Amino acid sequence: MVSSSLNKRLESWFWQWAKRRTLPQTSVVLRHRAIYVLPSKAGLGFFIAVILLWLLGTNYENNLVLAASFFLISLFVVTIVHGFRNLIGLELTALASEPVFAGEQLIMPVRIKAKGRTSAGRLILASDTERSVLTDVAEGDETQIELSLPTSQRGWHTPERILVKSYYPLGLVRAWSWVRFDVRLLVYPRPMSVALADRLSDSDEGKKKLALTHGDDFEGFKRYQPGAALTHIAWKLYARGAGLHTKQFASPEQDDLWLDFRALSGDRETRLSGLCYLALQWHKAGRVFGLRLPKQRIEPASGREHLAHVLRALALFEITPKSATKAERGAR
Amino acid sequence: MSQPDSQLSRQSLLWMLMAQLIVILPLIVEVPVWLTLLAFASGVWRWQIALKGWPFPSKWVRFLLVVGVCAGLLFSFYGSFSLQAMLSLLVAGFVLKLIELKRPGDLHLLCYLAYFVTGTQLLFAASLPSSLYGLVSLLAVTGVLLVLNGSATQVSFAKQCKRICVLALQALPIMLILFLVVPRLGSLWTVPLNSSAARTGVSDSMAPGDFSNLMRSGDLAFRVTFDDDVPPVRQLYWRALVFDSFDGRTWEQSGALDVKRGRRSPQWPQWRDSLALGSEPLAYQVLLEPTAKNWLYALAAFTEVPDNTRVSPGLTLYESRPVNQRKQYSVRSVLDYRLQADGLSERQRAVNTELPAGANPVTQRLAQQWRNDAESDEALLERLLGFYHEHFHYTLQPPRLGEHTVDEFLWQSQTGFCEHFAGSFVFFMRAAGVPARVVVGYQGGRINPDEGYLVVRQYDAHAWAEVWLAGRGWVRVDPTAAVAPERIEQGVEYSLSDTDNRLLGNAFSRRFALLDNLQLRWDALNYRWQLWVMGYDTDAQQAFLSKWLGRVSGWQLALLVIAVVFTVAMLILLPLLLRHSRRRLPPAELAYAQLCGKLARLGLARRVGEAPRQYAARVARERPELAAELETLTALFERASYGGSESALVRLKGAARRFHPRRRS
Repeated sequence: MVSSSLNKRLESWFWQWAKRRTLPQTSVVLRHRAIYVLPSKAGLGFFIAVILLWLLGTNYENNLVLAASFFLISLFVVTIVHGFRNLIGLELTALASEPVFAGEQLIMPVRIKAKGRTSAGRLILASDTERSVLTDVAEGDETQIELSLPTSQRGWHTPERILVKSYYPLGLVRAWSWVRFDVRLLVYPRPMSVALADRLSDSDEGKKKLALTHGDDFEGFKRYQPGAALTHIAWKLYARGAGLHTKQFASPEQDDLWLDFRALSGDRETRLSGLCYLALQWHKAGRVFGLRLPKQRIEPASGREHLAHVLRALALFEITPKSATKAERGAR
Repeated sequence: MSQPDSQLSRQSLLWMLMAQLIVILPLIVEVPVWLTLLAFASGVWRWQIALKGWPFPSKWVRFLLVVGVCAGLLFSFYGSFSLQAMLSLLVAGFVLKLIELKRPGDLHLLCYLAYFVTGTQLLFAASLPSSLYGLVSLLAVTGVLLVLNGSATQVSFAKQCKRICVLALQALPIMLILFLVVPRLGSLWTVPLNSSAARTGVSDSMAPGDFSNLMRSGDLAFRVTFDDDVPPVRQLYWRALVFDSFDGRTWEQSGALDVKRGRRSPQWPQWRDSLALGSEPLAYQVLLEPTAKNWLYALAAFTEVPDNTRVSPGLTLYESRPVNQRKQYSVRSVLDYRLQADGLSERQRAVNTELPAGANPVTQRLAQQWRNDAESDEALLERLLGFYHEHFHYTLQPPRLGEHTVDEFLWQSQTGFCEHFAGSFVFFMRAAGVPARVVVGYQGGRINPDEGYLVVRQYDAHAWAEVWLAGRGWVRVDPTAAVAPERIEQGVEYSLSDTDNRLLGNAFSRRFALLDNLQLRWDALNYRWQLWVMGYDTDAQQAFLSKWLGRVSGWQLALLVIAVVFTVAMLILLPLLLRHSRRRLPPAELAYAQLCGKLARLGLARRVGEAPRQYAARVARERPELAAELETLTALFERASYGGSESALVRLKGAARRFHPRRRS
């Protein structure tokens, strides 16, 4: 009991200490302060072999066998330096990643630049929980790898520390560093199907808000905005050489398709998941819809960008301030 | 980019098989034949698994293999636990592991085993070429580790080799300092090296025909470096064993002299008291090839013996354990001496005149007759030697001798070589009542003209006689010298007919001057290697360290090792350090930074994040007299840095260099 609690305290103290040495940045250059080198498990085996060899040489008073054991020890010492050198000066940059839905794997591309590195040994990158990725970076070259990170919650996802390690050159020492990227990766809510009929029957208000109607009184033309539904483009006008325009239909607001937070029941996350699901469904169906959240409102529209806009609003609902402070702290 | 693979890459497997071949190849002579065949078979099998998708052996096949190998080892080495048995066990494990090689972890284990097997290989062969071969083995095994861990993509063979060599070269200085400095602890326990079968050398008994086998071998016996000039070869009688017991055919050591029992053999603590010395001692070092026997070779009579060696009652040197490693020892000897001149004990006299009853009746009778004719022992001796000189013939191909060997030899065949002469001579003298004994060892040797040391080979093996004469003690008498004086003066190859000479070891190379010369040089190189590297023991270490470093304590040596390690590490990291020390700013920034530095010395440092214009404005407020110059410089900087103007850059550099703002007085 005592030892386990002591262990825990030591562990948390160590992580605090390690954290201080790796400030989060979008682009991290591995410096000597943040690189750790220790013998690997295979290195311990190697050590045992060397000791046996030394015993053999000592016992038979054979200088050649002794020399062989000394050679292996020296090799070990040299690999420590090489392992260190394999990491130092590496520049890792987290690149923009596509948002995913909570529960999916977030694919974070990382660019690795070996600008000043002189050796080009194998690298292994891994987040705490996921499979590791092997790569080589030639001297003065750069490469790009993709790390997959598990997500569980919507909102801004800041990747946990990422382990960059290398067993270069002989697998006897493990040189590693933790990298914390100061990036905020967007995670949308997990889409969960909601039975629309149920929701509609919940309240009269909801029935109105989620009514699958939309206005059809033609109002006029508007210049095409990227992302507008193709079905609304005035092709005749375009054919006349007047450029791309979309047809605008005057419709009473309540008749438009709305995703409304208050129209769904359940706790906040369930509602957001439901809205996310509906947004995806309606987008697939090519509909025009808007979003109403407490204190936030997105006018009805359609298209890819609109969807992204809506999903982003859902993802960041009531959590933006927290992550803002986080980002501030990171920038310091 | 690739995913981490639990399967072994073909490249690493190929390297492993190659390394395994290199490691096992020199051991073929040491391990049983079936094990060698098994090793190759399993190598091929593993390669087929990788290449053609053969299945791994099933659990049952593996089990049967293990049982079979264990049974085979038990059968091959039953009852003798030697290093060979241990080595075979290692090789067997090595081979069996190969066919179930699946994961990188297995490969690591196999590599460590290969390192160890390489080490044992070095135990068996320590010459210069085999040491180099051992180094190649180590590098090959290291190559496997490098392929396994070095890179995620395929690397060409040449590049791989280059990487290994770079690693090895970097490790070399650390290895050297460890080799020089780390203390040698000495033997911890004994496992016999069971290599006696393969070794030739003087044996502990002498029957007719024994020596002729020995003389067909050109193998090295030992090498000697004399501190001063090398004495004439005819005086160099390398004494090893004294035989004083004869059973009618074979000469052997009696219980009183027997040294082959090692620790339980008789010693002679008062040997110095029985010696009278007549000249200055000669100092020399002997580098003895492993003999698997426990006796050493020295010139009579030694005055100083190496540590841990014992002196037998026959005035020979021996150790308590067989010499399984090349052994270097220093001796001082006096060639002019008298041994036991003040008399033999009754017992010794009895032992040294004893003959088997009824053996060689003709010789016994004639010896008595000659004894009665002679005035003294010396006269008898002279007559016998004269007899040898007149009637005998030296050859390596004597006719076979029957039951009464001495009778047949002395009065019928009269042809033979040293063992016949020495044996019959001693027998005759004993029959005449004069104490006599056979001494075996080597005679002469060849001086390496380049390096000045003496090489003694197996064909220099020799047997001679010692006769005890009143007032003179044990006197060396060499009947061979009476028959073929050139054997003693110049060496065995000068005393034989051409057909005989071809029987001698190394006959081929000695017939061509160039080959002979090459061989001498090669031997010299090997000798240096043995002397300096293999012979670097605790004494040599202390001598070396005190010569180069003076008196140093343990922690100072440790500090030295750390310093070397640190230097190597720094050298490896040097490119990195150099890069850090160079500022990597663009030239315009560099010139601007120079400018800011000069202003900072006046207390006007540029603030973090302050734009050049803002900074110029602030400085202008504080120091209006600098305003104009600074504005020009800032404009130049902006044009050079953002506009990329070459001419602006040149002007900026010059201006920044010449910019010398004065302190406010």
